[in-house]
Formats: sequence, structure tokens, C-alpha cells
Amino acid sequence: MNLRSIWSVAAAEMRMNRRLARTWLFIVVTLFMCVGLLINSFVNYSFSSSISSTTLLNSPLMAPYQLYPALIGFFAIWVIFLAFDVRSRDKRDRLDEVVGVLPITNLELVCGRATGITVLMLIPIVALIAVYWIAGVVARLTWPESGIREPELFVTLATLFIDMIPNILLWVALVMAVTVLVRLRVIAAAIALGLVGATIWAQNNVPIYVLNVINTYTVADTLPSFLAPTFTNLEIITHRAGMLFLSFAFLCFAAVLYPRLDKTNKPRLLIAAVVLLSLGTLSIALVQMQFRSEHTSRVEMAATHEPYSELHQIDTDSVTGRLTIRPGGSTHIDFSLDMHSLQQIDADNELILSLNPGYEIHALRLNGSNAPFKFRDGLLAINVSVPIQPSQSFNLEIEASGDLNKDFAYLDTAVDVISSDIFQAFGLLFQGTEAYINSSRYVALVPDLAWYPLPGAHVKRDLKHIRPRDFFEMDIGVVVPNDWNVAGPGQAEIATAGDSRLVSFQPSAAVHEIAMFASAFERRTTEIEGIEFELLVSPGSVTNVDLFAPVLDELKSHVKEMLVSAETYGLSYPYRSFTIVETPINLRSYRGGWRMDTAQSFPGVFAIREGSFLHAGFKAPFDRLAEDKEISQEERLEKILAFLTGYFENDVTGGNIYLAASNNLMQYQTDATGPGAIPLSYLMSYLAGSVSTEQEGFYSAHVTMGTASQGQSAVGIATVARASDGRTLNRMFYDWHINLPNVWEAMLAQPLDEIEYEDLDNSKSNLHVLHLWGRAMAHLTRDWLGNEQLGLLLSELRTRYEGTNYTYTDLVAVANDIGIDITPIFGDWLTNTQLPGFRASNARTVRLPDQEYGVPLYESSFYIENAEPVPGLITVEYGTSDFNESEGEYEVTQPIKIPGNGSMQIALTSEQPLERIRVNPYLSYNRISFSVDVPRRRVYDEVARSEMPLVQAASWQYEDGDSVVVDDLDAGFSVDSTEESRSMPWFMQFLTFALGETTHDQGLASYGTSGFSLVFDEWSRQQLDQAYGKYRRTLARAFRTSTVANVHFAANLPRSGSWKLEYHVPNPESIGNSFGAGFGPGVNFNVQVGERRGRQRWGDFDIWVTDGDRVVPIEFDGESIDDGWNLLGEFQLENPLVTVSVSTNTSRGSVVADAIRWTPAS
Amino acid sequence: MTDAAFGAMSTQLPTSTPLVNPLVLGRKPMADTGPLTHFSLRTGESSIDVNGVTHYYGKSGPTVLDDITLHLETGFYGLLGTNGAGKSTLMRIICTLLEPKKGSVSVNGLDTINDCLAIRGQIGYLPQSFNAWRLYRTEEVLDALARMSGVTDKRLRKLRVKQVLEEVGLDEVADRKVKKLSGGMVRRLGVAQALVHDPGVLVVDEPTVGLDPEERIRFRHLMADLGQNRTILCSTHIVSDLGSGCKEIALLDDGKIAFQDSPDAFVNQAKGRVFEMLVDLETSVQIEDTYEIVSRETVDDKVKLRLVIDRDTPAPEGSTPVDSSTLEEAYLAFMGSIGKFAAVRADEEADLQVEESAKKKKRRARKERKA
Repeated sequence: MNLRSIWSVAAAEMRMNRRLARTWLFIVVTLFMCVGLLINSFVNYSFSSSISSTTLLNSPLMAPYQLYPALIGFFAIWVIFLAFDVRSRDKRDRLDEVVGVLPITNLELVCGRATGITVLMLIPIVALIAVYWIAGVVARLTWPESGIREPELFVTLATLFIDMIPNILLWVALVMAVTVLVRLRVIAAAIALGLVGATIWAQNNVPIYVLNVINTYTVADTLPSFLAPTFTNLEIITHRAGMLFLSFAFLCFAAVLYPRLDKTNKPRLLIAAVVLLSLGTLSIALVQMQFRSEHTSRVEMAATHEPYSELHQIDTDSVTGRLTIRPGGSTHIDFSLDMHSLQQIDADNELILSLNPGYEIHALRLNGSNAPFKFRDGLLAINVSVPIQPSQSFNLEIEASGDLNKDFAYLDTAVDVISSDIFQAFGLLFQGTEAYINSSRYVALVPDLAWYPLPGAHVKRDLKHIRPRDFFEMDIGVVVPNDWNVAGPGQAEIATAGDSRLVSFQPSAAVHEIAMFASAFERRTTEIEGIEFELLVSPGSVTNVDLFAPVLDELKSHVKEMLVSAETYGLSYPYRSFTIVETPINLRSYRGGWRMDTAQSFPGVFAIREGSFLHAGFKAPFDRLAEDKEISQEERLEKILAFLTGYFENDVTGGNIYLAASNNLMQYQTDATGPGAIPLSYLMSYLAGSVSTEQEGFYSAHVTMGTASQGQSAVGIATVARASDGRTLNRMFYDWHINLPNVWEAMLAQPLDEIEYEDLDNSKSNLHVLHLWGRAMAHLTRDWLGNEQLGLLLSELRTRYEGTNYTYTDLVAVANDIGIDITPIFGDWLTNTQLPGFRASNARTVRLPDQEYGVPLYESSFYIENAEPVPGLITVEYGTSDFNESEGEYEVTQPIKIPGNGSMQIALTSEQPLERIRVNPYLSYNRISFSVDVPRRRVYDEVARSEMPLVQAASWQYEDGDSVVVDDLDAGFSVDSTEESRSMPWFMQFLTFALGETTHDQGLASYGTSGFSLVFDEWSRQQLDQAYGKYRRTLARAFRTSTVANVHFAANLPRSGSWKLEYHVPNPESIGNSFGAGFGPGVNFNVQVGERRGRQRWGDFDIWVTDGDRVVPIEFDGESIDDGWNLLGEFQLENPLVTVSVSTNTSRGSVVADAIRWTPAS
Repeated sequence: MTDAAFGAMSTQLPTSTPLVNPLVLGRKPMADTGPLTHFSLRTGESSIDVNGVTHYYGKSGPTVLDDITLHLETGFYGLLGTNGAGKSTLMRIICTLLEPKKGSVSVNGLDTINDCLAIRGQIGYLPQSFNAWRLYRTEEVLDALARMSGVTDKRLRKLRVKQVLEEVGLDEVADRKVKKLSGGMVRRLGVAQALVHDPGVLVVDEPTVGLDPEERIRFRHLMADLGQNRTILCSTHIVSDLGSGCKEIALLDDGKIAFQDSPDAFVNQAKGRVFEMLVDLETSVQIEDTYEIVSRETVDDKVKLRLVIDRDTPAPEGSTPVDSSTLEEAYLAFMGSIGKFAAVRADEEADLQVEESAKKKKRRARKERKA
């Protein structure tokens, strides 16, 4: 093969394609889209980055993650339209015979043409990246507040040198091979496009363990990190080499098949093609095998540990010694661990510990003597020569070094990459993939890596009811290069000697785990209330820190306020230092186990992810505040501070610094164990956080991984939604992903103590049940006890059990000791799933005698019944304006206890007649709050009496009289459908971000809980305050369709005869803000966007009554439908069992099936 | 017919070292002592040997070439024959585009089957149907093809392109895109591309189709010049295109060599079959209906006709035999002698149509340019 010939053909090909209009069209379109993508990313980020770290996906840091695959991917598709006529073009140009006599081989010809197209496509890619780079640098230097910066160097280089050529060349070669195989270029293009489509389909559908075979972008493997950049690895190199082999194989095939007389030895070329094809396949298979091997290795390690997973044998008292970090090299530990036994360990038995298998153990001494040990798959089994008695202390000295095994961490993660789908995989990638980072610039040693010896097996560590937390003292010196700093628990004592630095950590309180982060950080400290707040960030990340400098005093007083508040409740911060450390974006930010909790919070340390808070666009809003002359300086500073708090309040990625800090107050000092330990620990931690910081939040890796993959528009929607109702993003996400029918059903299906947390398949459901229960319970507890009593309880609990664990019995005992009765709150919460259920009468408002100075006084009273045997608590919100309006002012009562099967009368007084009353049950069958009808009058009855007490016992019961009501949640309600629900089509799936998850509510699909709702041409269930319901107010709803699907309300009437039938229809405007789509099985796709508030009208409902064999159709004119009960007519019924059916065949919009009511006509 | 160069039936291949095109493979043929202006590099001998070539398309299609043997040395050779006679097939075989079913072909001593790549570097080929990349400029076409033909030295290539463009009269449209060239210009571009890498052997298939008379004359001269140090095989059915510079003529008929000898010999064979007569207009019409008219000239109120008769037809009364006939007349006479007048006329009709079509295209292009 003559390279000069190839290049001469390539040059001609480039010139040829350069002249084609489509080439420029492709380039312009791609560049336009990519620049648009960048601009969208930057603009989106500039608007939303100061709101929440949830927008991290849009950050300039992540821009290459989106841009590079798009950029190369587009060109890889375009080359089809350049390469598909390389054969026919010569013929069309009547140049085939001239080309035929050129002194070049067919191989040189096809290689040259492939090279020409590839190089031509590479030029705009390189150009755009170069422009992006330069613009990024210029923007960073001249316009730092824009957030725009150059792409990360290493991943950019990897894209340019490793990804770009194989990606383009493979498609060119493949298309050329197809082109010479099939003569018609249209067919060739169609086949190539089909292959592209198949690849895209495969990327979305193949099992994740196959995905690395078709993932061709470095940036999709490793996130772009400035802190710990990654260029490439052997697997990527092997994969790309495989792609090149395949490319050359296709070119050889094309050369063999090329219809031009060529005396090249075709059999030899064919053999070369087969060999290259084999090499390519083998290379990619090797990558796959390596991936499988890593997974197998993890499975094997987990299997080795599994037999010991419930062994709770020893407890660590202290860890002392030295850790030597050699950046990019090995890690060395020389530790002494004081421990005590929790059980009898006989001679020749083993002490079981976990230690990263990357270590080579140089010395191991038990009580000063060398001890025989086995060390396999990270399981360290130390042979005991002398029996150890329960509670007997012993000392373990260990010296080990090595390159830690990154796969050893998080062995039992509920959602493992190998078993996740593509959307989860993207979400997982976004949350970081590396459990261990050891580069020349950054070293991260998270506790789950077992970089120091951990008692017991390295699985099921988060099953607190089996494996109580191990709290211990520590005194560790960390040796790092002399320009490095280290984040660790407690205050760092720094001593520099020569070219190394010794950073010592000896926290003033116990810890249960140790995380160490080391790098050439810029270190800033400040002291508040005797606690050192240390900030360790990369030098490039200090800009935002400086932005908050003007409010440093306010910030300090804000923190001081929280510290004092916590102290007041007896929850003082336990360490002398709190460190905020910047961590690389590719460091995994969630843990393993069933819960997959955040990995950003450690004792004394908060890990803030690269690209999030430290790079959020605060400057622009701050500048706007500075320019606003209408607000005072004080207000300005308050608003700046509000940005800070709001940012973390809105977090859904586990990066809420307030909650991370509050973890140190309770659960890092003492934790629950025994039956119910997991919910109890959750509750206590939640309470500690809420009383000390007034912040709430939840973290679910399942939610984050789902939202991460659903695009940027989601952030915009979320931001708009947040702006519309004032909820925090975290609260919105709670409503969209936790407060869902399926989670409620799961919670009601089994008592808390029967939940099998070790069943990883149900980890999402279990976690979300925990969040649902925990939040409601925390609110109930706090409201019932009040901050003072709650603080007293938490404080006493922590004092008594600091450094150890407590059980529920211990908690009750502590409460009793300090005179707090927690029984009304908890009841038999562990073993019982029964909840109270509340129904309320309409309110009656009267005018009482005026107060002093003629101030009017109104009293609105209503009855509330708990129709279930379990007592329950409620609060009542009441006010004079609409609750849905953010300016609505309302008051809230203290919790009111309603006895089981009992009722109360509640009387609310006000100077203006109340317009709205809302009952908020904590945990009840009602699930959410519901409104009480408050009839409005021009003149209210005047009564000459004093006001009633807020709450008094009553004997009121909700009654339907002689009527028979069938609600959509009743057993008499049924749907003609063989399938529960169709899954949402892929092109609509992105909506789930904004509309909540698609779940099932008593057998019917439930789309969205976010205020928006989707309506499909199948029946789904929607929760609506204006709907009818015993406890829960729901209705079934469907978009009109000719594919008739019916619902039936079957009623068992006490007697035959004349009955009136009523049909309940909610106010159509109350369903507002919804839009729907109807699509039959592949038939129609109708988007309905007309149901806006104030414009909604019902169509004619298609309803009929079936009485035995008699079917009576009913005319139900949409124009005449009233809100509430509508009389459909009077029927002479012959059978007691009568059915009212409704079809989806309505004349407009959607049809609802809420409830029917039969009342005797007499 | 003589056994001169064409008919040597030589089975012996030249023993001299095969010629190597000095332009290709990046060699610099001249000392780099100053600016290159004009150069001709062809110094050695070149040859084409066609030895018993038989060809048919498909596995058992009709025979297109039947045991053809030719030996061509330096010089300009004409390959005559009606459309479908097998000229293009023979040329494709010579140019390594086709493998003969039987027999062998060597170019400059190199076998077209085994050494096709080496031959391609030494051969220039203008196919019957030629166009170029429409979006290229004229000089770019030549530059690209020269480069792909192995002329890797940029400076040399540039000069060579310029030179060839001048030779074919396209220097003024060097930067015009191919799609804007007239049919004649494209044809000349075809000649240029065949020459641009300065090949020792030039094979041109119907090079003058679509050219106007002036361009044909220029082409004839060019071929004559180039034939000084090259082997040029020019296939045509327009005999006048061969001109006086033609060294030998071979006439293919139904896949066989029907004639091969010098142009003089070709003219001589027509003696006694070309006549001239001066008649009135009415008579001329009758004569034209009966005989194959070669030329028609009005002299005062009379018409001067030159006509060709076949062997079995008596000459018309009043006609006188012509002493020296033209090549065209000789060709017509020869074809008439083998009963192929009609085929020749069909070719002429086809040519007229092509010319007409070319003119229309020119007019349309002019209109477009004006618009």
C-alpha cells in the first residue's frame, strides 16, 4: 500500500466533498446544533445553577459530556451521505474509466476515499473544539461570572486523539463496504441509516453490560474532571483499536468487492480483512470480558464476604497510626487498632475484618504477637491463638501498602451497573463512577473502600438492625506532599518536614468511619463558636467563595445561630472542626447497600462535588441585587444569604450541607439498632436536622439517577414549577417521587419491622417507604412534642448513648425518664400498618358578639370523624384567602388528636369569615390534606354566645343516609381492561421528570402528581381535592377515544324499586393545568393542551345503566353538567345489583368516572 | 496491405527495459536549476502489443474481438471501425480495464494482466464517454488526476497542468468549473487528463466526438506532435480525424482486423472506386439517391459531386475516377467494398445528432449565462 497514493486520493476526495453543498449543510447544521447545545447549556446554567446543584448536568464542566458525543455522533451520521455514493459518483461523472486506469490499487482507492471523508469531517470537529477551548479560556479570564470555561483538557484530548478518528472512520468504512456490496446508493444509504438506527436502539436497549461495547466516547465512560482528570485507560485504547481494526477490515472488504480491475491478490486481501475483523471483534470482546471480569470479581468478593455478613463479632475502640499517601502511587498504612470482642472467640477461631484487597500486608500483630491470617478478596481472617472473652479488649497492629482495589467498595449496591438499564446507567454515571481516586493531583479515600481495617464483612454494613454502628476514637497522621492539604474528621494539625507534610487528625468525639481527601487544595478557615470551619478547594474554585465574602459576617452569624440552636437542644456540634472539601465529579457520590445513601457526608467532613456550588452562577444574581437601588443593604445581604440556603434546600443529589452537618449531631454520635433500627435512625436523624437547621430533605439515588438522564428541559420545568408555588425542589421531588400511590400501597402492605431491607430488589420501594413514613412521622413528632421537648429527648438520647447504639426500647425509656409520653405518636408503629381515616362535615360559620372596639368575631366550626380504630393526629390550616396563592395567609393549629372511631368538633375563630379550611393528617388513609367546604354567605347568622373551644368531643358520624354510593376506589368499581397500564411511549418519557413517576394506584395507572397530569386514552387515576372519596379523593379519567374502554360502578341496592341516580363530577377547572395525549395501540397520538384553567368544559358523557338484561342509555349533556352531584334520572329497577357504565367515547376532552349515588326515589 | 508496423504480427516482446514515466513516483526529471517553463520528457521507445486477443462479454456472449493481433510502436495510430466494431473493447483491454478472454496485451513490454498497475502509470486514456467531477475546476481535475497518477511533486505538477491546458487550449478556462465547460471543452479536458502525467502510451477513444472542425484540426495537430515520442492509439469512426500524422491505420470490422496498413495504402485501396462528376441540380438529386456521396459542391449552377461506388456497381455516366482520394473516401470505399455503407451512414447520423445536441447545449448555456 502506497501512502502517497492514498493521500493523493484522499486529497481529491476532500476537494470533491468540500464542493458538495450537502457537506456544508451537514457542517453548518452540526455546528449550529452543537453551538446551540453549548449556548443552551450555558444559558440554562446561568439561570438555574444558583438554584440547585441538581443542575450540575448543565454545568459548563459537564458541557463536553453532552457536546463531544453529539458533535462526533452527528458527523458519524453525516458521513453516510458522503460515503454512500463513492462508487456511483465516478460512474455518474463518467470518470469511472479514467479512475480505472489510475495507477493505484483498489485498497489505496477506498482507503484514500475513506481518509478523505474522515479528515474532512475531522476538521470542523477539531475546529469547533478549538474555538470552544479558546472561547472558554477567554470567557473564564474576562467574563468569569458567565460560568463559561474551557473544556477539561484530558477528556478533550482523549476525544480528539482517541475517539474521533475511530468513530468517523468506522462509519465511513462500513458505509463504503455496504456501498460496494449493494450497487444502488439509495439502498446503501438506507442500510447505513438502518445501522445507525440499530446502534441508537441498541444504546438504549441492550443490557448495560453490553453497552460498553457500543459506547464509543471516552467522555461517556469518565466524567470530565479538572480535579482528577482522566485521559484514557487500557480498556478504552483496546476498544478504539478494535474499532480501527474493524474499519480497516471493512475497507479491505470494500477493496475486494470494488468493481475495478485490480491485480492485487484478492484472496490475500480477503484474508487480511477476515484477520482484521477478527482482531477488531476480539479487541472489543476483550473489553467486554474485562468488564465482565471486573463484575465477576466484585461478585466473587461479595460472595466471599457474604457468609460473614451478619457476624457482629468485634467493636473498634480506637484507630491510631499513620497513613502515607503517594499521589498516583501506593497507599501505606501503619495502624494500631484497639478493639474489644462482642462475643466469645475461641482459640483457632478467626477474627473477621475487611481490608482492601489491593493491600499487601507486611505485618500483622495481635496483642503484640505476629498472628497468622488469611487475606483473600478483602476478607481478613486472623487466627486467634488465645481465646478472647466477650468484652475483652485486644490490640491489632497492621502494616500494609499497595494500590487499592477500586472495585472493593460498595460491593452490595442495590442498583449495580450491570443490572441497571440505560437510563439508570446515565444517572449512575452522572453521580460518579469511581469509588477510589488516586491520581497525581487528587486522592480520595472513602470509608467504603476499606482503606483501613473494618470489623466484619464488607457487605450489609447499612443493616443497622443486624450490624450496629461501630463508633471509635481516632488519632491518625497522614503523610502527603508538602504542598497538599488533607480533609479528614476533626481539626487538622499540620506539620511540614522536608518535601512531605504530616496532617494529624484527632477528633474530639468518636467517629464511625473515616474519609480522607488529599490534594493541593487552597485552604481557608474561619472560626465560629469555637469550631473551625475549614474550606479545602482547588485554586480554580475559589471564585464563588470570594463572592460570599461580603456576607461573611452574616454567614457566620447564620451558622452561629444554628450552632447555638442545636446547642440549646443539647445537640452541640461534636468536633472542633467542620471541613468542606471539593471532590472530583467522577468520584461516586452515593454509597452502596440497600439504601445507597449519599456519599457526600462523613463525620466532620462534607464533600462538595466539583462543578456544583463552587461553580454555580451566583455572580449575576448578586450583581443584580447590587444594582437594585430599592432594597436596603441589609435586605441585600439577607437575599445573598438566602441564595446560599436556598441552594442547598433545593438539593436532591445528596449535597445538602445543612443536613450533612446535622448528621454529626445525632447519627454520627449515636445510632439505632435492633428491631426497627432503620426507620428509627432515619427519624432521629431527620428530627435532629430539622430542629437544628430548620431544613428538611431527602436523598434517593433512584430519583437522582432517574432525573439525571431526563435532560436539561427538566431543570427549566422544575425551576418554573418552583417559582409557581414556592416549594423547594427537594419538596417537589418528594411529591413527585415519594408521595405516590405505589409507595403508600407498599407502606400499607407490611409493617415496618417486616420490611426486608436486605432484599435489594425492593430497595427503591423500601427506601421510598422510609422517606414517606419518616417525613410524616418526623413532622408528627416535632409538632406533637414541640422543639423544646424534642430537643430534650434527642439530647438525652445522645448523651446516654454517645459512641454507642440505642434501641427503640432505649428511646422509650429515655422519654419516660424525662417525662415525655411518646406513645400517642408512635403507638405500635413497628408492627401495625393500620392508619386513621378522617372525614369532615361542611363548616358552618356564625358571627359571634363583637370583640372590644367593635372588632367582629366569626366562628367556623366543623366536625371531623376518625372512622378507623387507630387514633390519629391532624392539624388544621385556615385562612381567609385561597391557599393556592402564595400570598395566602393562613394559620395552623397545634396537632389535634382524634380518637379511633371517634369524632371531634373543631371551632376556629377569626375577625373575617374564613374562606378556606384544610385538614392536614400526618399519616392516614387520606394520604394528603383535604379541604373542608366553607359555604360563603353575604350575611352570617349571629349567635349570642361566647366562642367554643378549639376542640371538643362530639358524636358526629358521616352518613350517606339511605343512599348507596360507589366511589372509584370502592370494590364495586371496575375497568374493562386486560392490561393494567401501557407504558408511556419513549418520546413522552422525558415528561415523567416534570409529571412525576408513572405508578399504579389500586390497579389503575397514575400519571404525575406534580400539578400537571397526563391523560391517555386509557383509564387512569388522578388524585383531586374536588373529587368524591371516603378518605382519598380520586377519580378515574380517560382521554376520549374511539377505542371504547368502559368503567363500571356496580351497586348492590337493598331493594328493587324506584331509585334516583346521581353522578359526581368535579369542577372542570379544578383539573386544570393538565394536558393529555391519546394514543391508541399505534393508532393515534392526540395532544390535548386545551384544558387550561377557565377553559375546560365537559363533553357529552356516554353512560348507561344495566339492570339485569335491561340496558338503559342516559343522555348526559356536557353543557349542563354541574360541579358535584348531577341527577341522571329516576329508574325503576328490578334487580338489586345494578351497574352504571361509562365509556371513553365522550364528545370533548376527557371523561371522568368519580362516583355514583343511588337514592330511593321516595 | 503491407506487413508494416501494424501487421508485424510480432509475438516477440521488446527486450528493452520497460519505460518508466519520469514524472511519476515523485521523480524530478530535470535538474532543479531554474523555473520550469515547458518540457517534454518522452524520449524512449514505447509500444503496444496485442497478441491474438479474443474477447466476449459474459460467459458466452457474442464475440466482440476475434483473434486480434497488433504491434504498435512510437507514433500515431488510428483504429477505425463503425460503432460496435469492437474498438472501445480493444482499448479497454489495452488500458487494463478489461481482461481479454484469450490472448495477451503488453504495453511497453508489460503484461496488462500481471503488471496492470505499472502499465497504468505509463498510459493515458481518454474514454469514449468522458466527463469530470462537475464541481472541480478545470485545472483541479488535472491536478488531482496527475497526483493520483503519481505526479507527486507539486511544482512539477503545476507546470505540467499549465502546459497541458495550453496544449489543449483550455488555459483560459483553467479556473472554470467543469459543469460550466462546453462539450468540446470537456472533450479537450479529457485529452488533457490523458496527457497530464506525460504517459508514454496514449489511448484515445473517439476523441473528436463533439468537437467543432477547428478543434478537430487542433486535435489532429496535437496528436501528430505527441506521436513523435509516444505510442498513440486513436480510435475513431471519423477518418478525417486521423490526418496526415497518422502512421498506421487499423480497421476493425465485427471484431476482426479488416485492414491494417499505412494511410497511403489505405488510400490506394480505394483507387477506382472514387469518382467525381459535375451535374445539374436535378441530376444531382438522382445521383445522391443512388450512390454514396462523399462531398457536394455547387459550382455556378452545377453541382460537383464526389462519390464512392462498391465493386459491383458501375460508375454513373459522366463521372471520372479520382486519382487521389481522401482518407474519408478511402474509408467509405473500403466499407462499401465489404457492404457496410449503411453502418457508416448510421455513424454519421449519430454524429450529427451528437453535434446537434452539443449545439443545443451550447445555446442553452449561453442563454443561461446571459440570464
